[in-house]
Amino acid sequence: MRVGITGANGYVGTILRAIFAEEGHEVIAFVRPNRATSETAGVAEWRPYEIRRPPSGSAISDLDVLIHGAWDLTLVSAGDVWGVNVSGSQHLLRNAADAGVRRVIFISSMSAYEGTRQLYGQAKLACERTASSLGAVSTRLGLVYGPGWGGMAGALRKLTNLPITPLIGARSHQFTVHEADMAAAMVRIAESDMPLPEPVGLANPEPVPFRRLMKEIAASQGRTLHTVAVPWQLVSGVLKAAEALHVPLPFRSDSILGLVHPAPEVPGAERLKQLGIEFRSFSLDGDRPSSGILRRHS
Amino acid sequence: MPSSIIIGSGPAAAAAVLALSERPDEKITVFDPGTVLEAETQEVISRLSKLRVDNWDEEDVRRVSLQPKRIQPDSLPEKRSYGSDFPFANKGQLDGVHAEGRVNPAVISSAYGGFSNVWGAQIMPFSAATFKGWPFAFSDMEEHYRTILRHIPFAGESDDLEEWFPLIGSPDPLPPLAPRTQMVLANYDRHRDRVRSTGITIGRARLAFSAPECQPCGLCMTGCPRSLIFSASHSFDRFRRSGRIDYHSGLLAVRVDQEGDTAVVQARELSSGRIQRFTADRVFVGCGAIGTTRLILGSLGSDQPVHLSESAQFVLPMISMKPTPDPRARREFTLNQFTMVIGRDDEGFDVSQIHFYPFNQAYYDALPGFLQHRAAAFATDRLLSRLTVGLGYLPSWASPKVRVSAQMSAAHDELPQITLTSEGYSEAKVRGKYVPPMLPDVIKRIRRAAPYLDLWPVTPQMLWSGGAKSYHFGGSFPHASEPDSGSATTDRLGRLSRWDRVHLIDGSVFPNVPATTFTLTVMANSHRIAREAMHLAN
Repeated sequence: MRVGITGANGYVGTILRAIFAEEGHEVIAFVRPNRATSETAGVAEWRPYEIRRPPSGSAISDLDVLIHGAWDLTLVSAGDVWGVNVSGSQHLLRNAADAGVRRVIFISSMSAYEGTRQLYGQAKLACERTASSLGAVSTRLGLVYGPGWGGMAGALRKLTNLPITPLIGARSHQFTVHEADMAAAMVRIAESDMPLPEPVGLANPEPVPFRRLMKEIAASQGRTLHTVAVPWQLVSGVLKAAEALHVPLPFRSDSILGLVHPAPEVPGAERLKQLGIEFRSFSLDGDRPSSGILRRHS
Repeated sequence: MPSSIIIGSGPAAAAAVLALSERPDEKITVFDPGTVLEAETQEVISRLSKLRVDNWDEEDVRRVSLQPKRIQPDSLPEKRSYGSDFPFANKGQLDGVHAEGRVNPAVISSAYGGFSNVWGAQIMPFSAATFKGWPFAFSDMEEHYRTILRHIPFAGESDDLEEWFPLIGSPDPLPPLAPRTQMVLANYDRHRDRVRSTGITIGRARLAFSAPECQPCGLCMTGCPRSLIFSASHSFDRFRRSGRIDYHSGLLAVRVDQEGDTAVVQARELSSGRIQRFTADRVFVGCGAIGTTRLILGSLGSDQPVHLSESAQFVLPMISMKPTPDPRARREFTLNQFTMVIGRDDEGFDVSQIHFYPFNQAYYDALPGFLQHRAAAFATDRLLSRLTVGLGYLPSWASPKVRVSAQMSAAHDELPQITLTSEGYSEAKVRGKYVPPMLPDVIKRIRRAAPYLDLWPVTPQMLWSGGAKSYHFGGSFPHASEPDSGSATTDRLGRLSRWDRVHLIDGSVFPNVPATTFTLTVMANSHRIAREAMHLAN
């Protein structure tokens, strides 16, 4: 298959372009102009792409699969997020549908659930609605962790390196997914023609208490976690103030909402089982794929 | 050789020509008063259209961007097209037209292209439910909507408005939207269920303009220097260049009639006063609803008053708590950017609609004088970064009627004198203004959605336009299923019982006028009439 991936230089995009190449697919990486990296292994072609200027249908009509993962995380106001990320994503999804791309996969987030207060989740939900109306698949990724340590998991890992880790949302939980499981699931969905009209969660359905999550991340680095509970409203306020002053930060204030108000459950687990997709329970012991849990059926 | 006469050069006339020109041997004659933009201004436009926006001469821009002119107090000012009032100029077509009270007297255009030289370019179909009272269904109109949307430039996007107003055809995406529009669309998406529980749906504008070629310059509302906004004159330019029509300007139709199987039109030469006589197999009358009504009443010799349905207009400023960047520092496209539909039923029939415009110079000009003073700059900056202006419409069944009373002239070749008055609906009062009862309900719903959308209506500053100001009026001779022996209704081909070869093709035949945008349906219906009439002839 010829598989196009937007956001191919991001944490998830990097994992996906590697797995699709390993599986023998032709990977077309859509990245910001002049961002084609020297590490070209597995990429058949680099194409310039900007989320705010999505390519026309003719520029993607040669694809069998399009996985849309690009998202500008530097934007903080609702207007900007909608003007760039939502609008750009919706145009791309429509162009892909019009161009007859066989399988279009929108990378969403477990932060996207009805009633979410998080701007990021609400924006992803808006794109999911468009994806659903076009027959595209929305995959809600849980907290992706693994040897690459990128994204939110990477940011949390950095926090555990502090002498004392501020712990917010200690009573909340996260749904997690190992990099390898997420990648394998994505390949399976891309290869399949099974209709998936409702969003599916790529995450183990067992909620992981946030304190345990942080403890295990610290332990995987040989550290003991020392925490101090901090009201999330205080952290959110500080981050908002910093954002207003355009101070670059590893966390957005909006991300705090995602940590303290997580999704209640992982959707679509039964549908994914029909495709032979399951996800391992959270564990960082050895940080290796636990054989036998991820099953792939041909 | 079959032959047709089209009276007028506005959108209805253009759509009829489009249909008739499908038959290669159809002889098509078109005439109108044909007032055009002054030659000197046309030269300026031509110069600007060849340059990139950054290279425009300031004096040229100033000349073609004169702001709308206030004609009546407490009413929306009259638009200008490239600084000119030619779409409203009286070349004789307004002689004998009298308007009472706040009713707008400039209701018949002499311009080549008619009022489409100054329209808002918004194009949505009517909802399927709107056609319940019509002698044909939405499904009968769909192919005509599609044909028209292929003929004109079309920009728009898929969104919730499609539930009632299908996105027919393949529109181009809109140019980048203003920050305030982005903010409202974001708020709507974020709180969609709560907003929709108030009956409000929001979507992006759908516009008849060539969006891919747009270099935002902020001059949409005073006339696009690159002529990207559709005007019926563009269609007629093409028809003329291709030699498909025989076009005569400087003529004002004063009578239509039928002699045997021949349709007859008498028209006065505006330069000499001489009467010319035209004959054809059929005549299609598209002078705009009031122009057509006047011509038909005169031709019938009827002094019975008729009532036009109007989708009445209001202007509602809105304030947001959260500011967006100062709009004066940006260059946007300044046509309508998003549309709010306020529905009071589940089928898209009983709806009001509001079109929201990003900042343009007219906003600033409309501010109270003290806010335009340098000393008030701080307050004005804050205000403009929070202000949105909506141009709203109520459906005709919730709006006052426009009564047209005709007084016949003794001369056979004179149009009758007509008097326009506004009738009905003075029950409800909003901040001292008598308005139809639907309007307070609309405002109440907007207030309920305001905390989610961050759009708060400023009702003290609301303008309620006078009669016939919306230009969305018609229904003087509405389509009806049952044959009518008198002069009140037309059949589905726009024919009165007296003539079977005279077709009315503009808004005058609409059984009602919903709050939805008007012109696309005028064009689609005219196209349908002309197409069906052509098949009838075959």
